[in-house]
Amino acid sequence: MYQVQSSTALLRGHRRLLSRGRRLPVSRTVVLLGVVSLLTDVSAEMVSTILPLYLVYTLGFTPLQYGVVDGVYQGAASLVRLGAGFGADRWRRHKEVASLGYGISALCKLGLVIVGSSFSAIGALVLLDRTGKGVRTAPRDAMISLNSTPATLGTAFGVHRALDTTGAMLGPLVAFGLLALAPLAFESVFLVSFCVAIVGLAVLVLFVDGRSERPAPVEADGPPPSLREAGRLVRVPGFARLLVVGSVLGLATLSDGFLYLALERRVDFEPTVFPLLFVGTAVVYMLLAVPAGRLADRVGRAKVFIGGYGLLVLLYGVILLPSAGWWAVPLALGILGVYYAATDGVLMALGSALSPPALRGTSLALLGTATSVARLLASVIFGALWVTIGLEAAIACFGAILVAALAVSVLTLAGGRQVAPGA
Amino acid sequence: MPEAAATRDRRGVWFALLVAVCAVVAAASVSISALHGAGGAPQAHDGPAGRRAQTPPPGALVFRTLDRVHEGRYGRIAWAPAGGGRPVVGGPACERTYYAAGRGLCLSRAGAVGASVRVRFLDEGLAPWRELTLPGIPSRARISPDGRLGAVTAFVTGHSYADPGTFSTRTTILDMTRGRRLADLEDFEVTRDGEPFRSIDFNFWGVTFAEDGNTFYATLASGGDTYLVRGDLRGRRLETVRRNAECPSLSPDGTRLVYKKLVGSPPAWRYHVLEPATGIETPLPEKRAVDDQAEWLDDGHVLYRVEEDIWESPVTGGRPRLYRRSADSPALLRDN
Repeated sequence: MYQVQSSTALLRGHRRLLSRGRRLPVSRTVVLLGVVSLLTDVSAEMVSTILPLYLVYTLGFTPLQYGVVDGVYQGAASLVRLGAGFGADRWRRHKEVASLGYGISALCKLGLVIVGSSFSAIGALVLLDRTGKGVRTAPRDAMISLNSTPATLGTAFGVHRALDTTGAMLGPLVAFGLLALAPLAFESVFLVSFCVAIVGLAVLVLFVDGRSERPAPVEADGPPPSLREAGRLVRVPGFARLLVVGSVLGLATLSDGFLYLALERRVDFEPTVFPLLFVGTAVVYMLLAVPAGRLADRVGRAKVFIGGYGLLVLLYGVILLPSAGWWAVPLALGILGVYYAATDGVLMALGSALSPPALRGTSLALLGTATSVARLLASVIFGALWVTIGLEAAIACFGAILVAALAVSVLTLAGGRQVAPGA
Repeated sequence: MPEAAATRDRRGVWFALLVAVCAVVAAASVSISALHGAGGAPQAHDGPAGRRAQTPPPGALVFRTLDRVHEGRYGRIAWAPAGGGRPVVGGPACERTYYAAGRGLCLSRAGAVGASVRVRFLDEGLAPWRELTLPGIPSRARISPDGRLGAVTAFVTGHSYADPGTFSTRTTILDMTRGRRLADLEDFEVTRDGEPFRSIDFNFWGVTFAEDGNTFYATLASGGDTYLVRGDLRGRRLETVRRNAECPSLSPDGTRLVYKKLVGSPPAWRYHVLEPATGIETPLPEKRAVDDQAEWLDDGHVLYRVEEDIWESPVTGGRPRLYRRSADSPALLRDN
């Protein structure tokens, strides 16, 4: 199969890259975790791309039913994340908890082949799949950070996110390629997706070392962290500041869906090119994730992170330009891609540098959940604003909120500098 | 460390084996599907060119044949004379069809990734004379009784990094005489209980036209509710009529609407008939779960798809019966 071959080739390519003088200061574990994410994202995006088609075509679902599935899809992950992050820290079993998460999601792909047309069964599988995602995210990010030196955290997360995004882009291509070969063979696509997921899981189970290669000072010694200690995380000065900054900025962040919709309304392009917007953003993100991570390691992660959100202000401005023509579309997508590269992995690198190693999984889960809840709220608020004051005014409003949030963030992070010079 | 190296080698062998097994399973599954036509749905072909269907006479049923027995028939638009009889298959292959007053619509999938709707306008003999492309997956098609207006609903799947699988419908009103887009229901002003009703999560589907060439009914979904809405095409306005009603279909005499309503637990769609003048709503004798926009056979009976057949049900009393095997998208030609 094309995608299996290409992924083994990639694996080989990375080994070659590593043996050739280690140009990237990133551990083997980080690259392997990136490959696991790449394969898992190929598998996941194959399914999420064709699931609407499958539900509507083969099963005759209507949009309302799809909406139910979709809501389940999105809400499930973030709650589980906290529990899994803490559990992995408590048992010191990041690899096992992550494997469980990857395994659950893989089995769900097989489940889609088996359950057939039952609405409730498909809903349950989608929920379970998202649960698997929630379970694996925090322990995986903890493993990335625990297997990197403090000076290279940004690069490590950059490498992981670049591979992850590559998978997310390949997935839809593979799915549509297969459907072109075998029209309406949705079950085959699910089966191939399962195979890819199993290979990804195997890379994790067989090749990733469960113990960190560069153990952090506190690791493996002392009693396992308690729930009370986890609760005290919000009082660790530097980390608490970062939580505030992440949430405040999240509250001023427009979701991609809204950004694309706003672009469409402003520039008035054919809705048929909608899927290409996602590809455009992802290409830029993929290419710049590593350079942005390295830059963050060199000049300061907080600077790059804040700079990324500064670009978001610029993006809102581009969308609002009265003379926005077709050129605004590639410009906006480019800025959005750079924004992702400068903020997504860099936030986790910041969080890693500011949190105790024994509670790394819990800390990164907390950071991830806080920002995604803030973004969810932002979407609800933006939706309401759009209806009441109109699109342009709503974006301008969010631009103002973002500038204010940036000011708060700069002050907050500057206040924390004495506490955490590494940030 | 010879032991560690040996362990790693053994792991490499296991991994290679697993990759090989997965590759074989994946390749086998895809090749079998590719060779045998997966999902049980044969590929639809337009059939030999130049074979034109004769013009369907008044009283005929125009439909989409799901005949899997005869090669080159599946999915094509066809008609049969009143009261049954052998079908005449001659139109193009479609996912959804409709026909009224000498004009037809054929919706099929287009685009490299199958995410566009190819809308073909058919003449009275079911031959395409013009086409346009809309985004999405074909869902519903309707034509007004006078043949001047058409409506197409498509499912549009978005794909964004942050919100996977965003999903919506788009309903476009067509000018059937010129083969052009006329309006998009998203641009209409909506009122609910006399108050302006606005939300960005509006989705519209399932249009049915009245005789006057201006009034129509459709479904509006917002925030988990569905509404039956009445539309005024010239005024670009919509107003909600009642909740929980999807895919309406207006009777030939214009006095009643049949639609799908979600009832029971777990919820399933059942057809109900409404007299807008009196507000009286009664369930149809069809007790199975249904998912089709019904078509009126006459003022007392409706046609709809169940699995791969067209069924007929009286609006009040009686029992449903099989109307035509291996067919869907029924459209009845009226005498006017």
